[in-house]
Amino acid sequence: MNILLLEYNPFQPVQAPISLGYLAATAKRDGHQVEVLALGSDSGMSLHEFSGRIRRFCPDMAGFSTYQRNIFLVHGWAKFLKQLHPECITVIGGPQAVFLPTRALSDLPFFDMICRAEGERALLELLRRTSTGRGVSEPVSGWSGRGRASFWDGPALEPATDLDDYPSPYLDGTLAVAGMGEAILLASRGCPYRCSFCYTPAAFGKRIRVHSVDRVLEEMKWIARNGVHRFWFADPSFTFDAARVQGLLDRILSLDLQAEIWLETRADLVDAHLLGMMKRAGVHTVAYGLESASEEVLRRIRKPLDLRQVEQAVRLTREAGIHVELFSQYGLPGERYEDAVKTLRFVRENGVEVRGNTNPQQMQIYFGSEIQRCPHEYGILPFDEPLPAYLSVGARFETRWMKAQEIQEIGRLWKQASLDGGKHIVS
Amino acid sequence: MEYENGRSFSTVSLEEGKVPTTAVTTLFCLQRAARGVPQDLRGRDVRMCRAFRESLPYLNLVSTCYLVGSRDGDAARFFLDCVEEAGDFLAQHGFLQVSMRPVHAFSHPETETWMALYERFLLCLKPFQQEGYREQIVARFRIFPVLFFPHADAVESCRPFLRYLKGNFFLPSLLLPMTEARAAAKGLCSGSDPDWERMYFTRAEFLAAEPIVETLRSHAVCDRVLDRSGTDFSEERPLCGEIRVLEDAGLRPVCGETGNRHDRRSGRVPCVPCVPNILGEVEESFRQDGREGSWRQVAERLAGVLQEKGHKAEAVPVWDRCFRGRPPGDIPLHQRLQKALCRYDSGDLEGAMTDLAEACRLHPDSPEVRFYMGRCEFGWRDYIEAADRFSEALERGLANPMKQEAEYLRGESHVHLEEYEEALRALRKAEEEGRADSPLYFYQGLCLLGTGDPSGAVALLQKAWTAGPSQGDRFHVLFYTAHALKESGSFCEALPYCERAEALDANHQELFNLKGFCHFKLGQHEAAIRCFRRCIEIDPRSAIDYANIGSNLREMGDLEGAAAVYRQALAMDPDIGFARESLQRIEKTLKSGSAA
Repeated sequence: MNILLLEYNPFQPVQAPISLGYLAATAKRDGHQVEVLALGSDSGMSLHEFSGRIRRFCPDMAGFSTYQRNIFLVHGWAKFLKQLHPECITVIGGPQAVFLPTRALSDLPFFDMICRAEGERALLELLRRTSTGRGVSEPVSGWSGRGRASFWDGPALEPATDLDDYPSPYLDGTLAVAGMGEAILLASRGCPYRCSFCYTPAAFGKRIRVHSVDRVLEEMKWIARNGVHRFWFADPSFTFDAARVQGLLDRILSLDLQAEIWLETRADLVDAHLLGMMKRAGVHTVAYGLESASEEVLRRIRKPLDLRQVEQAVRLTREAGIHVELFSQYGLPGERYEDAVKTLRFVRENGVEVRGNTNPQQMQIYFGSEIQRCPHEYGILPFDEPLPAYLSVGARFETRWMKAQEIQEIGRLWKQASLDGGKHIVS
Repeated sequence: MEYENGRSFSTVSLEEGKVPTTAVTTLFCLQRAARGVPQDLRGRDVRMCRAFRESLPYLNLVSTCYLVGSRDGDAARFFLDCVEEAGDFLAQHGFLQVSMRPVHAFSHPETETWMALYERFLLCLKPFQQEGYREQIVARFRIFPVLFFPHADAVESCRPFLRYLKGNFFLPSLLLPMTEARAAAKGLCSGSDPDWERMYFTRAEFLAAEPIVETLRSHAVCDRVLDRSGTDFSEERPLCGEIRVLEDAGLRPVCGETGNRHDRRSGRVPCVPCVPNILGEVEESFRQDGREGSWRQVAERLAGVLQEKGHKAEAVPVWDRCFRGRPPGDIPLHQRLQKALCRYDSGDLEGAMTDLAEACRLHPDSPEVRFYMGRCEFGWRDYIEAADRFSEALERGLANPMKQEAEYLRGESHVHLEEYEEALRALRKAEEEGRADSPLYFYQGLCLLGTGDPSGAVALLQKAWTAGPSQGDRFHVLFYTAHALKESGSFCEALPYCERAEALDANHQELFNLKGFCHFKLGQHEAAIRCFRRCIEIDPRSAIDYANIGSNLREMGDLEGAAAVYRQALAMDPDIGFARESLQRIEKTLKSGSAA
C-alpha cells in the first residue's frame, strides 16, 4: 500500500517528525511504500504542489499527526485529500487524538478512523486488515472508526514490550539526516508519575519502556556520521534509570561523538556526579519540570516535588556548566494570583533566564489528562460555551482561584519578563 | 492603450505568465494605473481579480497578499472583489491561512467610502473570526490595511479612522514618502498602544506601484529573516524567491537587482546585491517603529549568511551598517571579529588589522583578537610579530580549536625564523591539543633537520607523507625527506624520494642539486653530472653547479675537463673555495705529469 504520513504545525518551524518516522519505518519494514510530509511555519507548500504529489503517489491511506491546536486544520487537509483521492483512508493519531471521544467523528466527517493505541502496532494492525480486502467498517484492534450504522471502538491493542522491536527511522533512512539542524531521539517512552495535567499516565500507564543503549548509540553514531551533532532527547524523564543513563553517557563519551545534547528530566532525578558526566558527554541544556513554585499547587496537581530539590538541581546543573530551562504553567488548580507571581520570581531568583522553553503557558487541558476527566474536582471552571466534540477545554477556563483576567495578566507579566518576547522554542 | 511600462494590457492569465515552482508566501496584486483616457477600467479589474483567483492555489499554506490600489479606478471595488475571492478559497480549504493587506491612499474626506468598504470586509471576515474562536486558533483570514499618506501631518486628522480600523481588528500600517520621515518622527507619536502596526517609508511621492512594491518586498524579506530559523538564499532559493507580483502579464518573480527582473542568466546569486538595498529600504521604518534591535538582527543575520556563503567582501559593508551609529562598547566582540574575518578572507589584511586594532583597544584581554591579529601578521610574513601575537593569545587563555591552530602557526612562524627549538615546542603543543595533520609533521621534521637530527626528521617527514599532504605540499614533503636522508648519509634511500619529487616538479633546481650530490656520494658520477647539468639548464648562473660538475669529472679522471669547468665556475664566482682548491691541485698534477 501507499501510505502518506503528514505532520502539519504552522506555529513553529518544521522539526524532524520523529513519531511519524517510527510509523513510516514500521510500515516500510512491512513492505509498504511510505511518504512522510512534515510542514511547519517555514515550509513551502502550495495546493498546486500538494495536488501534484497526491496525483503521483496516490496514497491508499493518509495518517495525520493530530493535536488540539491543529485538528481543525488537519481536518481541512483530509477533506482536500478526499477530494483529490476519494478512496484514500484518512486516519488520525497523536497524543491528544488517542483520547478523542469517538463521537467526535460525527463532527469530523473527513476522518475515517482514530488511533487508540501505540501507533506502530496499530498501523500494522490496520494495514493487515486492509490488505485482506476487508473494509474498515468493522472494528479493528487499536482503532475507533465508522461502522455502517454507527461508530465502533475496536479492542485494545498492547504496545511492544521491547521498544527495539520498532525499527529506527534514522537507521533505515526514513528520516534524512542531512540538512537537519538537530535530531530528535526517543530513548524511552512513558513516565512513571501521575501529574494530573498530563496525558502521559493515561497513554503509557505508569511505566517506562526503553530502547537498548546499543540502539540509541547506533542512531547517534549514524546521525553524527551524517554531519549532525545536535541531539534533542524528547524523553519526559530522561534520567529515570540512573544506572542506565550513566552507561549511555559512558558510551557516548567513549565514542567521541562531539555531541550537543538537550534533554529533560525531573529535578529529583539528578545529582552532581550525573550532571558532570552529562556535561562531558555534551549535554548543553537540561529542562526541568517546575510547573509552579507553590507546594500546595504541586500537591494538587499530583507532582510531589520539593522546591528545595529544584533549587539544588538548578544550582548543580549550572555549576556543571549546563544551561537550565524550567517548564512552568499558570492557571493551575489551587493557584492564586500571588502563587503565579511567585513562580516567576522563583525562576528569576534561581538565575534562570526567561526565554525559550522557560517561557510558560497557561495550563492546557487536553483529552487524556486527569483534569480533563473531572475539571470541577480540580477547581477548574470551563467557560460556558459549546465546544465541538473534538476539542477539549484547552485554555478556555478560569479557576476557583483566578479569574480569566488574572490569568491573562499573569501571561502579560511573563511576556514582559521574557528575553525573547515570549517565543516558545521547543529545544 | 499604454500603461506605465509601455506594455499593452491584455488578458491576464497564469498560463501566459510564469507559474511559480515554489509556493508563494507574499503576493503583490497590482491594480495598475492607466495612462491616457481611462477605458474599461472595470473590465481590467475583473480580469485582474480572475487572475488573482487563479493564483491562489500557488500560495503557501500561510501567506500574505498585498492588494496595491491605483490612483485611478475604483480601488475599493477591486479590493472587495479580491477579498471575496480569497474568502471563498479559504472557506473551501480549511487549512490555509491568508493575511490580506490592501494598500491605498487615504484622506479624511474619503472616510465614509472606506468605512463602507471595511464594513463589507468585516462581513467577509466574520465567519473566520467565529471559526477561530470556536476552534481556539488564530483566525485564518485577516486583513491589515496599509494606508498611504503623502504627508505626515495628514495622519493626525485620520486618527478616528485608524482607531476604527484597529477597534475592528484591522490593525493598519502607515506608508509615507521617505521625505516625510523626519516630520513623522517629530509629529507622529505611536506611544505604548499605537494606532498602527508599522510605519513604512517609501521612495514614492505618491501611490506608485513599483517603489511601493520594492519597499514592502524588503519588509517581507526582513520578516522572513526574523521569523525563520534558517536563512538560505542560494541560486535555487533567493531571498525573495517566494515573493511574486501579479500584474497584467501574469505572475512574475521580484528581485531588486535588475529592476524587478530576476535574471537567472547572469549566473550570479541574486541576493547578494539585494541585501544592502533591502537594509537601506527598511532602516528608517524600523527606526521609527522603535525596532532598531530587529533591524540590527536582520542585518546581522544577512551579514552572517553572506559570509557563510562565501561572499566575504559583500558582507563587510553590511557589518559596517550593523555597527553604524552605535557606541563602540555596544558592538559585540564576536561581530567585530566576524567583520575582520570577512576582510581577512577576502585578502584585505590591512582592513582586517584596522578592525582588530580597534577590537584590541576595546577588548585588550580577548585572546581571539590577538589570535586573528597573529593571522594577519602571518599573512604579511612578519613572523616575529605573528609569533608574538599568537603567544599573547595563548597567554590570555585561547580555547580550542583556535588554541591548537595558534600553537601550530606559532610553530610555523618560528620555523620561518629558523628558531627550531622554539618551533618544535610550539608544534608539539599543537599536537597535544589534538592537531594531527601533514603540515604539522612536516614542520616538526624541518625543526629536527634544523637542530641536527636528520634521522628523527626522516621519521616525521615520512609521517607527514602518510598523513596525506595536500597537492601543493607533496613535493616539499618528498624533497625534504630526501634531504634528511642525505643529511643522515643514506644517499641510496634518498634517491627514490628525489625521483618521486621530480615527477611532481621537474624544474626544481635544488632537487637536482640534491640528487646530483647523492649520485656523487655513491660514485655515480655520470648520473651526477646529468643532474648538475640540469641545474644549469634551470639556472645558467649557478656557479656552484659548474663546480659540482668539475668535482665529478675529477673523480672520473678527466682532470682537464674538470679544470676547465672549475675555471668557468670561478669566473662566475671566485669565492667557491672547494673549486679553487681542487683546481690548484689539478693544475699541480697536470704540471707534474707533463713535466714527467
